[in-house]
Amino acid sequence: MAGDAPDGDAAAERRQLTVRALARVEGEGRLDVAVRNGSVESAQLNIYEPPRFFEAFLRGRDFREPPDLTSRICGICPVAYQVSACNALEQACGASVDRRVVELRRLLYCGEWIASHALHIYFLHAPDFLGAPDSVALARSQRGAVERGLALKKAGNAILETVGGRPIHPVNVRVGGFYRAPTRTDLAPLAETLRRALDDAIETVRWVAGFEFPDVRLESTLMALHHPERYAIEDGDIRTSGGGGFPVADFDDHVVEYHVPHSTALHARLDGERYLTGPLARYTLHHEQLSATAREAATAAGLDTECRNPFRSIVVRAVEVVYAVDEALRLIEAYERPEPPATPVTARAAVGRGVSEAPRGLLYHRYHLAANGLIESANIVPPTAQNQDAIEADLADRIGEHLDLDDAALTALCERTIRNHDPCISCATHFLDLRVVRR
Amino acid sequence: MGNEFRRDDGLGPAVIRALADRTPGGHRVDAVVAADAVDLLDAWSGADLAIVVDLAMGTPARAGRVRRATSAGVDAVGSIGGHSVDLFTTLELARELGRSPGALVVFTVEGADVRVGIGLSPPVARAVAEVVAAIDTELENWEISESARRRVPDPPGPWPAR
Repeated sequence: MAGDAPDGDAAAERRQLTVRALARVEGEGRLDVAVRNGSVESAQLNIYEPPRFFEAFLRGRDFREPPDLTSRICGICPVAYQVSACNALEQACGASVDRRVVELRRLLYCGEWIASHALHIYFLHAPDFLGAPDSVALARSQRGAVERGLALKKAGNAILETVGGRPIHPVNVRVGGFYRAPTRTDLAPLAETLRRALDDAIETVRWVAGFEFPDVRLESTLMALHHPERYAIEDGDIRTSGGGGFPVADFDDHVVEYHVPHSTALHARLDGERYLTGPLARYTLHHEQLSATAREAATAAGLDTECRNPFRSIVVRAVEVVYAVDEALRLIEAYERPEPPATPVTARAAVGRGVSEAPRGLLYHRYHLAANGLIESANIVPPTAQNQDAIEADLADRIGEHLDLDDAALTALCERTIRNHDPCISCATHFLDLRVVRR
Repeated sequence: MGNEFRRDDGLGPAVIRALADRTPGGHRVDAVVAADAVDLLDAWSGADLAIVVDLAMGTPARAGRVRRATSAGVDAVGSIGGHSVDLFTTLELARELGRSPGALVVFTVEGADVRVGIGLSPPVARAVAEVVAAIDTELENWEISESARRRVPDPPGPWPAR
């Protein structure tokens, strides 16, 4: 970390803060903050790592390939990419998927939520609240808690491996269903694991509820999937905090991506406004659809009927872990093996759109197919791209409230603010430069 | 460790296949392909000796060259993020949790090809037998040192000299 003298403009007071390796956030980024007359003029999250061109190299590929290809976008939420891709391609082809397949997908997705949320809660986020630089240091003071986090992640991994074939980048998902559906006997050991995990998940909510949270309120519009029968994970229509909503087919009419000069990642606006997807949005819009156990845990943790404090997102994630474990147990109990494991899907010239709720927010896929089944174009809108505007606004607000802090404290606050949103900027090295220019 | 769908990165699984059903010296040997740090922690918790085999890519590299390292004197070089849990950070975490193995030996083999596909390059495929032999030697030496240790206790510490 270092401070800089003004360069060139005598009227400008310039501070430059550098974090050479921002831990506990995925991706490469720099934050530039401009302050004029004591107020924040701009806060830009500069994502400078190269674009990855997934949408470009999907062109010309067979329509059955995206579930496996796009799952490689992320090692933490590959199921989200697989499910959104399947939803879009099945919709394009007019295929109706067996209810039992949908429930098996939901079970697989629960595994991803449990593993991803446990990773973020215990290894990326909790150290911020406990004064620890990382989870190794956290293990020194709170060994039992870290063991609990590992056990939860392992429970999530067990679902991914049993249903998806392996815990990272599962290989069992295909357009129309699965290559092989597990038997009830295959799932029985999972139920044992998950019953123990439920206690760990409830204890996790109690643990994080005891942290201290700054009193902060995020005013951005919230957007999440909605399903009439269940807390939406693997499909649904779209609802917003303004009381609006629209079908997935209209996504492109409402959500517009655009380039900004300071980032290689696209930003997005919802009907021209910044918005946030992810746990805060899901909880605020649909908390009444959580299971009774999850709702009880939320109430005991002091969550109200909405949560707009990004620092408290760790509590919401913990509640969602309770729900995902509970839901996985329910799905295993009610499991009927889909036979055949996949519905045959025949390609046709069409456009298909699919969504699902990745652990960190709504993930949208759109594919244009030719009659021969080749992909003519693809568009993928990941949650972190959608959330970038809201994250920048949140950063500007936090910095504006704390301009009196010294460089180190201000930088730490910025890092915490970013981690509150669990961004998955990329699958590369970690880097953040923060530069504050005061005029 | 490794991914057998990335050619030479399939080294770890190949070594495990070569070790299948062997119980050198009558000891129980568990062979596990680890997908992440959690798998490693589980695999080596309570073990007297853990041997990790992984591919190494470097510049300059000599494909097939086998190297041996131990945990002694190695500090964590990474940080715990979703995508970046390195072996020695995992070991550091294991130490804090009291789940580190009695001793850790790492064998790396320098690779030539980690493109998508199945099958090891010829120099890495040849190295599999060398690694298996090295593991046998490691177990024999460990047995000898354990016998000596039982006669003359080591000074206290988590990493007795080998």
